[in-house]
Amino acid sequence: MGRELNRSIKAVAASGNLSTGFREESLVAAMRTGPSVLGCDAGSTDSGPYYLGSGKPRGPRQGVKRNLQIMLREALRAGVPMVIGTAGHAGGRPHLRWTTEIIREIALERGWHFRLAAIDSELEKGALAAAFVRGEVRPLSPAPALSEETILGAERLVAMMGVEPIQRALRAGAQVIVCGRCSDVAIYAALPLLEGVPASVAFHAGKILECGAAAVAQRLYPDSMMAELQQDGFRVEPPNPELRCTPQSVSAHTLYENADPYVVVVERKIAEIFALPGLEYTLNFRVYGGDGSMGELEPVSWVEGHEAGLVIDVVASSQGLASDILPLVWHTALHHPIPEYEGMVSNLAFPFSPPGIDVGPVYRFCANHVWELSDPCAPFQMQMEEV
Amino acid sequence: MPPLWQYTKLIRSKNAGPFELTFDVMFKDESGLRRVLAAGALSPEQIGQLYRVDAAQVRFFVLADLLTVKISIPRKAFSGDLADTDIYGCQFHGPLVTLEIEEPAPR
Repeated sequence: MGRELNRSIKAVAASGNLSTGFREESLVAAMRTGPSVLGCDAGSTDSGPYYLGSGKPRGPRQGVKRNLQIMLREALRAGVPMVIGTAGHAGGRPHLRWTTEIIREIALERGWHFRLAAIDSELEKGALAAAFVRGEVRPLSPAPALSEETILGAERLVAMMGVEPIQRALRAGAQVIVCGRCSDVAIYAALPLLEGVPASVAFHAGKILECGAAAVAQRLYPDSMMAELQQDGFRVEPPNPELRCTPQSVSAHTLYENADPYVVVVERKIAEIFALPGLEYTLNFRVYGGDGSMGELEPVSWVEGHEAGLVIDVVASSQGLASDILPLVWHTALHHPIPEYEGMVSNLAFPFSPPGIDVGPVYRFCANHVWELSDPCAPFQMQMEEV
Repeated sequence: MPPLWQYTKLIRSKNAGPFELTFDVMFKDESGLRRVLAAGALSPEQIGQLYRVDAAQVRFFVLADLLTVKISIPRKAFSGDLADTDIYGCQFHGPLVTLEIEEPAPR
């Protein structure tokens, strides 16, 4: 680096998440300002380990297709690269495939052509287990205990890419870059860094852009956001005149979902893995109106009133066993005696028949670790194609 | 004295990744921030008591320029785990909203 940047670089975030959306006029207005890159994050670990474990995208497919179509049109029209981070919500191989299929479908329907880079971040379990045994994998804090068995038994492992794999795709002339698991910040920092924007500015601006319009004072709906990056700082502005940023709203977003306000994590690390719990079954009673949302940390353990919401969660070693236990549980709860009463009672108001719902497999995040690499691009296979 | 929320523009909790919770308390003005800190209402020890974690595990930041106190703690149950009650970790701030701020002791 070392050279002074004597111009500004603009970056546009279509939205905070590709599966939500943005107003078309907002994105069009933002793209008219002459940005150098258009991005959108498509993922999160916030919704829990289900998407990574199951390989299912969050969707909705139609909504994602609508968003991608507008973004593609605008990026192609402006002749700037478009970067999608953490495809399909979890950034695994099936999520990446799901997203690139939608992009190819749009291109075919519209007759659009571009160079597409798909960057795979799924790790090969054997290679990671070997690295673990060699002592190259260390935990972040806090992290679950990791073992060779956990790695080999995990449903899916992804590495989180930083800016380098995206920069490799940009250098190779990709116009559309779809990433597996990816740092949200890297989506927006990769290109400005290549253009000479200082890392502090690029990463901080990326952190503000990654949630789209989330950095405004009153985010009424998901929408686009733009930033202008310079040598000594950056300026953010929502392209939608209904929304506005304030110093407080932007600084609030610097803090958002970030454990340490002085550190923005864009490290290359291995992340969320999953394994089935080795239990026969568990029952978990969640009492809403009591301590449903905070559990043992709830200081006000009971709210006065004549009803409470009850969720009984049955998790078993197989779906069949869980489904068999479920009617025993709800029936027992329904008629559970009240000590002060005599005679049969029925206590629960079921809103549905049947009262129980099968919600499928349960996944668990089982790693939050860093794999020390000499080449930050090593685990990320890039596939380039002319669409 | 009024509860904590009356001094603030924003109190929230959220996941900082699936393994940690983070709290942001953004104040209306500097005098409010100073009063709350002087009253000893926000400190690693207080947070440790409120959220039942060892005070040594509480990461506590006073960002005076932002009129903000930021606090991060490890999650008791990781997001989405069997015992977890709140996948997004966004409903843990209630006890801070209603936190009583004591009058500072007269000098």
